[in-house]
Amino acid sequence: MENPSIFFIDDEPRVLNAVRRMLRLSHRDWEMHFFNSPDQALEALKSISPWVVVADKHLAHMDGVELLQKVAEVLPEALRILLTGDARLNSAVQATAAAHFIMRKPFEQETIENVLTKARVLHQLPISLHRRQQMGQLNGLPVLPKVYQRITQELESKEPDVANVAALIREDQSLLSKILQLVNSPFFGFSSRTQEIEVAVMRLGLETIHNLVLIAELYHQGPSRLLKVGDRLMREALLLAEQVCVVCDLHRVSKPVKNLAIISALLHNVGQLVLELHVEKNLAEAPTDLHEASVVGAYLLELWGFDPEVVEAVQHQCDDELPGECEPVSEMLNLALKMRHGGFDNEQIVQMVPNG
Amino acid sequence: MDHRMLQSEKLATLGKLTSGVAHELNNPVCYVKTNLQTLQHYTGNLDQLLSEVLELVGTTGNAEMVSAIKQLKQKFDYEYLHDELPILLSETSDGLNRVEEILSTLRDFVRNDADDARWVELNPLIDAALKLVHHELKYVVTAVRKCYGDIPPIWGHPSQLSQVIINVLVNAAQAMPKGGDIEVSTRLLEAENMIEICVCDQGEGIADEIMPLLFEPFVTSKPSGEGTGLGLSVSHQIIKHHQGSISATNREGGGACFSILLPVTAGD
Ligand SMILES: Nc1ncnc2c1ncn2[C@@H]1O[C@H](COP(=O)(O)OP(=O)(O)O)[C@@H](O)[C@H]1O
Ligand SMILES: [Mg+2]
Repeated sequence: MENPSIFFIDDEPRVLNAVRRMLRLSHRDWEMHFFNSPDQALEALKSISPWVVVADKHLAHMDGVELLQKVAEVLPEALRILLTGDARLNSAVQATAAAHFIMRKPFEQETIENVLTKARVLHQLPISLHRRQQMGQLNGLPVLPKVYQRITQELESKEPDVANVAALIREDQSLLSKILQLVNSPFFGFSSRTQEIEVAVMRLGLETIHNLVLIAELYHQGPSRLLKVGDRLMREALLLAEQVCVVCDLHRVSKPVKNLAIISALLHNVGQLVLELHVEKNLAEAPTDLHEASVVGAYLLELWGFDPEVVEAVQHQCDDELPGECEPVSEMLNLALKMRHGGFDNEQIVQMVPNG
Repeated sequence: MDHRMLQSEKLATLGKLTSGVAHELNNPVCYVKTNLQTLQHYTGNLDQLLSEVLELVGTTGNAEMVSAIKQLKQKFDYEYLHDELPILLSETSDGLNRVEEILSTLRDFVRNDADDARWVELNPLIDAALKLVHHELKYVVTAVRKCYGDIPPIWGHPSQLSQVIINVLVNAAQAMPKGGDIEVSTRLLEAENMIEICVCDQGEGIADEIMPLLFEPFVTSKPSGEGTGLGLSVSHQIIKHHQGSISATNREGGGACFSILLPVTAGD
């Protein structure tokens, strides 16, 4: 697994040639393997371990979904992408277990390049092969909530519309009330409460609301036995969000940085959540390694397309010392977590503030 | 076999054919598109290489070479090619984008075929359609006036029907660049046992030369890139498939009215 490498499977050779030419222009450092048939690709998997496998949905002898399911068994750590001419959301939802992403065909050059960049970032995160394999298995990860995916689609449209996003959230009363509760939490710092989702979207912006939807849904998934874990982690996340807010105000960071720091705090233990609920389903006794859980969290957030600042902050949340050239968001989260666990009091924090 | 069955078999065949064509075209469009992008890179690079070589010769070459180069440039019409190539490629890719757009409309039509028939409440369906096209309407439509009657559910394909409503609504908005209201009404025609949906706008009205061809495919008065001319023909197919009818009239005071009739007991 030294050089970045990709498998591309499509039964139309001219599609393969076109992709080969395109990638040669921009990604010459990638090792590329192209296959006409799923069987050839599966055979090659015995000797090569690509980082990314892209398969067309309609293949001559095997459905692309089926092929990717087989890939998940043999090489679960690879990023799996399904190509399809049919951009129906339904098929996206169905395929999430087999594929990490659905890519529409015909595709934009940019889309493929983004996927390769993502693969590289994911690859560089310090996670053991064993963990990667666990998470890459079919059903190794939670499926992204449907309404979250629909809002993602809306945000990717040419002109995302507040009213559409509000309508999507309003379709689910319990989601709506969870979102309003988060928006009205003290850490976002609005002087008046709102019961209108449109107002909430206007105050926080579409991106932040989108993130809140994921948070609200993720921590409340699964059978009731596990809801307890979700509730506990969510409570911790809320407390940390309040703490991060204090730190941000002391440091007088800008509003966007503060919002990202709050999102990072709300998602800081998503790695723990997924490890406890999905990966090691009966790990009640053994406490999760916090460092590992942080990196796993970063892995998930990168996979799900979160801002790089949030990914970095979650990855380094409990580092004793942050790597040089860290974003302010990472500093805020790291500091807030130290305050909660390390027992700094506000007095000490003020002293740590530059020109405080 | 009665006439209506024949008709609906024809439609089913047409649907399959369309689906096959859309699917078959997808691959060629995919690689033509990707290759065209690569080609744009390639020609850009070649052109740059050429102009740097020419520049080098111009500054370092002897008089003989310079004049030879000048002749070659004329012979191959260099200046023209240099200016023309990027334009040619960009127009070609405009054309391809249009093909892609048409394909995706056809695919939308076909994929809607997939959902099962069930009992559909039309008033909520129209409300949902209005929400879906909200961002297309919001800049031009000053008000949407709704006048819903008390109507029974009908047996049909909900996503197909909502596509029809969406097409008609978007057309209404597009017909009112200077703004105006849209009126949406539903009612039960008891004598005929039909439901009527009316969508009226305050736009320019349907042009005389379009009117006789209104439901034909690829008939459009909109500039390339804005209209495919497929919306109403697809809608017509869908409504016929539901054993209903769709028609349009221009209103006295300006604007167009689309009327959709659906039988209360429509079925497959
Ligand atoms: N509400 C309307 N008012 C005026 N003209 C209309 C209206 N609806 C449709 N038309 C005319 O019918 C043509 C065909 O419509 P349609 O099949 O939806 O294709 P498109 O909208 O892509 O042009 C339009 O281009 C327009 O000229
Ligand atoms: Mg139209």
